[in-house]
Amino acid sequence: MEIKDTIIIAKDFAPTPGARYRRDGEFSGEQFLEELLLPKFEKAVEGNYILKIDLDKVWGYPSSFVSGSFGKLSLAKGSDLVLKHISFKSDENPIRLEKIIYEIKNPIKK
Amino acid sequence: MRRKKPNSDLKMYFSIRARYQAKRRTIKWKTRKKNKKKHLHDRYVKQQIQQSKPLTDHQAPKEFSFVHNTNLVLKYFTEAEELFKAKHRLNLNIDDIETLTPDAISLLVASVNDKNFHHNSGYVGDAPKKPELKKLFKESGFYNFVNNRGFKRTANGNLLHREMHTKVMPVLAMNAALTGIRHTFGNEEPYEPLYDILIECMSNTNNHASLKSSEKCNWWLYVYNDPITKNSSYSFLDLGVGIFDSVVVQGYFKTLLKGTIVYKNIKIVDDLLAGKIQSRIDEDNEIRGKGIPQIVEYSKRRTFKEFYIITNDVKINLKTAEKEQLDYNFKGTFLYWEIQDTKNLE
Repeated sequence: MEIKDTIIIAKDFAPTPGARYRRDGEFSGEQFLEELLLPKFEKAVEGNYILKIDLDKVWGYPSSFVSGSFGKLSLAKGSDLVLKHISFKSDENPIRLEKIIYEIKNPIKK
Repeated sequence: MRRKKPNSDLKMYFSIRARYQAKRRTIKWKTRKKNKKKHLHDRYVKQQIQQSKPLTDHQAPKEFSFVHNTNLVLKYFTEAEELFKAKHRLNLNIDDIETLTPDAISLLVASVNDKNFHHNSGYVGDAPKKPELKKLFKESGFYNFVNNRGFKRTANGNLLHREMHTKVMPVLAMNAALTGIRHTFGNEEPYEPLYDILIECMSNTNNHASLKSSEKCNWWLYVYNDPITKNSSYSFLDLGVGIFDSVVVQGYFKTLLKGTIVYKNIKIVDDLLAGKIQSRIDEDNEIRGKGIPQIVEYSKRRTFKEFYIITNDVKINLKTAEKEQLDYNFKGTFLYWEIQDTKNLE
């Protein structure tokens, strides 16, 4: 499968991700999921291609943001499908990558 | 000459006005207005009586540090609140303190701005006498948040922020992180753990500080850049209900015994830090509860020189995993950490 679409979080969403819900404040995981991640992911599944997500140039990825976006997506669509159609890029910090992939694989707390 | 017929708008205007005038002539209306006037007058008289009361001097402990002298500082605030409740006017006397730390300043400013603490009883106060402590106190920006007679406003020094709407504010978190990063590391590179911790603190207050969803609790953030050690300290607090009073302990008997001698809060610290304790919020419970474990994980890094959580009757040192049972209850949640440049340690 080839990469046909990209989300650069710092540019397309915000360099300062927030918390879990919209009611918590700006740039929440819920907002990211509903406005960007889910629509682009569904298109990627429909078109059978990979959506690349660039994680760089961002101040951080709070666990509530990651869980409220990637965790929720994984819970709704299944981790295998999510990881089949999404690839991540993080040149600055590979730990971010691990953190998000771990969340997708384990959205439910242990 | 015949009078001009009023148009429909005017008719409407006069009919509404007539109805209003008739309403104003009713006994119910007049009684309500009279009662309101009386209530305002009574309140004014009460205020005058309260303000004319002599001041009760309330001396702060010599070591005025919430993190290092937790029990005595808590005792000071608990006693102050009791005196306020009994309608005493207080002189919150910190004149003769010998040690002052930024965390205590943040607790003091949050308390004097909290109605549940001062009960509108009136207070005065002054900066410490010791010159270096006076400087620290004045530069904290404390005076920007009090307009009481005793404390006078001065220019803001370090970053002291009060958030009224209990929202998570990512841009503020970034600025707060930058304030410390510039000072400690001498650059402007993002330090992810610091930013993530700030967001989790704000989120925690927004979701757990109050037991009722309609009641929202303010949070305070104070970033202090120490010119001598070159470290930056962060004090984050809310005067809500505290973590232990906001969590649900699983099981009927455990719930009944929670907070008693049999089932003390200190016994559930490990579960809390591991994210095993459920919050009162029903939504998404299966995926929530990762914020505190993330803070715990980050706190182990060498960059964090100190890391404490004080909530209800428990103090937790995240660096050493030590837990301390406190003699007094702190109604709220307080997080304190200090960042250092690890390059300087080698």
